[in-house]
Amino acid sequence: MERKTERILLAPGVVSLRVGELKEQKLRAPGDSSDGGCFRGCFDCTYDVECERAPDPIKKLEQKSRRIVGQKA
Amino acid sequence: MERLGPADSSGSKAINHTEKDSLQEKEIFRSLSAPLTAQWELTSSCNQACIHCYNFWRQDEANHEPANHSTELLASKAAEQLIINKVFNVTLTGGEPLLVLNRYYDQLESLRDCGVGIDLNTNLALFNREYARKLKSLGVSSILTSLMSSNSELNDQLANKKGAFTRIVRGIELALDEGFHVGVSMVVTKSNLPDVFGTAEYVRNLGVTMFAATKASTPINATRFYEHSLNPQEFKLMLNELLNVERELGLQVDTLVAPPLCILDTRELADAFGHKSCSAGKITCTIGFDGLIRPCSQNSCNYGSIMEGGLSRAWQNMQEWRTDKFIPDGCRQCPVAPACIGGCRAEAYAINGTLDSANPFSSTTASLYTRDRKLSRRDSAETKGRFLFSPRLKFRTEEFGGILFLASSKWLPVDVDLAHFFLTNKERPFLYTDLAKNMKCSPTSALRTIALLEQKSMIV
Repeated sequence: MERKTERILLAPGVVSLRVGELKEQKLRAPGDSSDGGCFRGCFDCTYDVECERAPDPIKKLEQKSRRIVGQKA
Repeated sequence: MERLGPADSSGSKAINHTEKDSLQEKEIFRSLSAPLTAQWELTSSCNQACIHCYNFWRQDEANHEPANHSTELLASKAAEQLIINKVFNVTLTGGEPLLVLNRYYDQLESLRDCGVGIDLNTNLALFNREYARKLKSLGVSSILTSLMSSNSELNDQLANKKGAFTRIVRGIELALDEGFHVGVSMVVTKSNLPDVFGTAEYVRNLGVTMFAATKASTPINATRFYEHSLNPQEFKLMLNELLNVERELGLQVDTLVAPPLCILDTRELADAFGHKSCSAGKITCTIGFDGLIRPCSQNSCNYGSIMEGGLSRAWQNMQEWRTDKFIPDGCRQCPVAPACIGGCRAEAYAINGTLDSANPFSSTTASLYTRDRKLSRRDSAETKGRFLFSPRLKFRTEEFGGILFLASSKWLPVDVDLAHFFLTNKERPFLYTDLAKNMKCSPTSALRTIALLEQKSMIV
């Protein structure tokens, strides 16, 4: 099995157990964007982390969800 | 997929891994060295016969005794395996564990002495002062019990036991009086759905502070359970009633089986229950009364035995539960499928006969709501003080670093740097700037970690 994500940090030192299809990247705290940010959407996050980048992923997620629903319909 | 069914004297189905084509499965959850928590079924016997009981072996008397090995040997081996594998917490369950608890005292003392936390799931009908004293000495502080209705007649009818209500309520009162934290779980079917709020109010008046309502899942061997089972609309009604309980009665509320996330079709429901996901084979497993090891208590598939191969091999065998293998085809395009896996797989199996079939409560038409995340923002100006790790915080090494564990709902996977910081500072106060220095990150970033540790009550 291919593991595409080796290390996802939700806050410095904190690791996600979920393995997603992200490019491998070490995430810093939301807002500390030098290492990228969390693009996984909140459902992929095990933790109650308030994410400063959240509005975009949430919007994307909801748009994507609606699109899928639309496709099925 | 073949329908799994009772296939040996234990009533559970052994998985043949040579049949698996694991190359096509995609890992979606990291494999831990061992489960963080385990349910341990001390017995298959019960003093009630609830209509919704999910124990698949309950209807076959021949399956009520473990084959080949004595109960004492199985118990000793189970305790040994839990200790060797550094499992943090074990929940004693059954059947009804109080029926046999006194036979397990030696093994439970071993668990306590080795730092394994112990919780108890019981109907409390047999609870007495002696059990209270013993459980306290074992370090048990939390008990989850079950009450189906505030209406004694209805409760006894659902429990198939006359007088059950009176005994359970007496047990709750006694446990509270003895200082235990008692949570009450109400398993909900059509007949007691109208009494969710009433039951919550009743137990609140007894002094209970945590109330869970969980829809009855279709038991594997049940026939005509659809007559009792909630439909999706009734399920949402139950969840909304829980929110009313939280608002109006001030109780902490929960539902104990992770619902498909798409049924949480309002922001309010998503915020309240959207954090739940199936932990079977990912962070937890069940050790059966027969020594066989399953991903969860509702699942009849066994992946090994305490007696042969032990917990470690069974946990490795459960790798497929950490992949996308059981995500239903209809859910695979959903962006949240890796977290949701389409809802409870045991329930899908019970109804459709396959683990990768659709959960009856999933929907392809609902809008998905993401959860509002609330983490108090730490400000450097207000973080001048020193922090101390909780003395109850435990640690286990993993290949990525380790796990910090306080309780079944409060744990955190951490990398090597944070693990090292914990191990070198666990008994002395530290500043957030110390953490930043150790983590080689900015003090502002370190405040995120501080806030997360605080939220999990891991630092004081």
